[in-house]
Amino acid sequence: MTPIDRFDPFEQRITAAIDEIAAPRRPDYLDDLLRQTARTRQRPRWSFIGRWLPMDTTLAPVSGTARFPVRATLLLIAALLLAVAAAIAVVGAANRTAPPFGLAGNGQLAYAQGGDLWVADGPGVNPRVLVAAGDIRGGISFSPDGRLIAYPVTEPGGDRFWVVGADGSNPHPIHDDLISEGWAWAAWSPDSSTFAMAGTIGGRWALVLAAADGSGDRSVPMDGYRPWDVGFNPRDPDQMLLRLQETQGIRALDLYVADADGTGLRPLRLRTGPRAFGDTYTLSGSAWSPGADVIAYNGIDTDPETLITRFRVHLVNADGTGDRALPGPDDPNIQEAWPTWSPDGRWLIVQRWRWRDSGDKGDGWMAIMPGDGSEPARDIGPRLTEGDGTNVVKAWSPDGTKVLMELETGEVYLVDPFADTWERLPGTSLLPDWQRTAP
Amino acid sequence: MDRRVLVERAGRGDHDAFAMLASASATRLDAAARLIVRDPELARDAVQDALIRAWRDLPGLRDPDRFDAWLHRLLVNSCLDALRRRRRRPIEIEISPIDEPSTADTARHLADRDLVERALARLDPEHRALVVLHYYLGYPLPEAATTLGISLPAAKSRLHRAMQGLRRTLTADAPPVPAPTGGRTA
Repeated sequence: MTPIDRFDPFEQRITAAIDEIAAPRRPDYLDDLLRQTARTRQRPRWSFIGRWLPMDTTLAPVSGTARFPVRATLLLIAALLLAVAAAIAVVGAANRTAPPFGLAGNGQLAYAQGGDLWVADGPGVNPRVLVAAGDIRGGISFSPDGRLIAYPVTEPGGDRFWVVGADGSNPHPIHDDLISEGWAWAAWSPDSSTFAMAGTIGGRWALVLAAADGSGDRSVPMDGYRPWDVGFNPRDPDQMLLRLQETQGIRALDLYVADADGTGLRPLRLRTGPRAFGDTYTLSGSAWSPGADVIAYNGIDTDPETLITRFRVHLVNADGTGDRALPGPDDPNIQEAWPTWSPDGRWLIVQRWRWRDSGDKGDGWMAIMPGDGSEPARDIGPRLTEGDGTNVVKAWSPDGTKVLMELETGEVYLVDPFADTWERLPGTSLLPDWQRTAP
Repeated sequence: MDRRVLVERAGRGDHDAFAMLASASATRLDAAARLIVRDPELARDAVQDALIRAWRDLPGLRDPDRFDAWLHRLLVNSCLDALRRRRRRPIEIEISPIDEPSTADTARHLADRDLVERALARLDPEHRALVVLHYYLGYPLPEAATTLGISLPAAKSRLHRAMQGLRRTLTADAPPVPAPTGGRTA
């Protein structure tokens, strides 16, 4: 295992303290243990299913080339492909490209399960493996036009994004250097031609734009800045929204609108408020509205009465004016953040939670509010309760009538945010992404 | 002898080869287990369980180069299983005897250790396992997430939460635990 370079002094302290706490010593029970294993019979090789199927059941790394199934499964895969091709021939002629923003039709669901990329024709309908990779752990996203799927494959040392056709055709990697520690955000351009990634790429902080067709990737120069998050103007593939941090001085953070080649940085000049939760979360969670006129993001404010620092959703005009905090819960101990726009921009879904350490139960849930923030959010959906954590991840359906919700416990739900009803989705513990189709 | 060769031979039933692998790994496994379960007896049980399973299931490991990662996954699972089976009771951390600090830096160093130890004790076992995988065993976060069988976003949120808890303990006016990463699929 290659040691991870720790540049953060705090991390260095932690690592040193843990090394000392661990105080390694040769276990005095080792000899007895080895006598016991010597008496234990190994399982025969033929009893491991991974020896028979092309799908790895172990931690085998994913190579850059496509896997070739063993002879015994070639016919099965060929039959699957024929079935997919037949389905495409029947249905494909009727498919039209989805618009990149606004309401759209609900197409397939794509999700990770057991390390593979699965698709279903609808919630729980005809689930099947699209890509058998063995090391896909989430982060799956359809292109805005619904034709492609981007997915990260975990390799030793980091992740690499691949793109595959929504019909399973032509899976290919789209960038060379692995994304290692620090990767947080990736986004499709609205014209579905480019996939942007921000994080530690190739061992350094970088913003990388990769061509979806695999023809190449390029690093956008970010001299003097560390890129944290990246998104696109939903109506303009040549305009990005970046969360950048200056690498000098007070290391200020801000949201920037920029041209897609990294030039033309225009800061929104937002107040960061107390950076109580660290740089990772200051001005995080930015999301451009479908109308491209407003940006929602995570603000960190101080309650004037209790002086409790908490997350609150902010809206700001795309030119940086009119920054305002949305009315949050009356209880200052309830955090509210991670705004997600409905496809038509009329609604925002947010995450709410209370931390266990605050003396409360430590739970998480969703809430819905008007997209203009004219009313406080209303709680919806299932709820993580004490001991289950607080993390809730969510996504709208393309037609704006449902919300997919993943709880930290590994349950995925399909929620009707308006009727406040929900059903559990079987087959996956990670948030699916929903394909946009022509309305 | 080349480690890969040892793994291959052990997978074919060579117990001496396995004994060499186990001996080379046991010290670190034991330390990692003690960090996760915080009880030397439970750690011993977890290490024993992991190594017995490793010997038994080694023929199923297709890539010998992944032996260490595979073994660490077995260990983490054994630790978490042991904790789940066990009733909650006060747990005493075994603290090795230390010398009196002779310099201010040493005093701060020892204070850090004590504070980190207490902060680790307050973490959930799953969070603690992630901290151990990442900061003690040195796994990059994506691989640590794979080892724990969780998504990378979940791993990021847990690690950030754990680190902020540690930060709060080590600094007088450190902030509360931060939010997990919600709202986006990345």
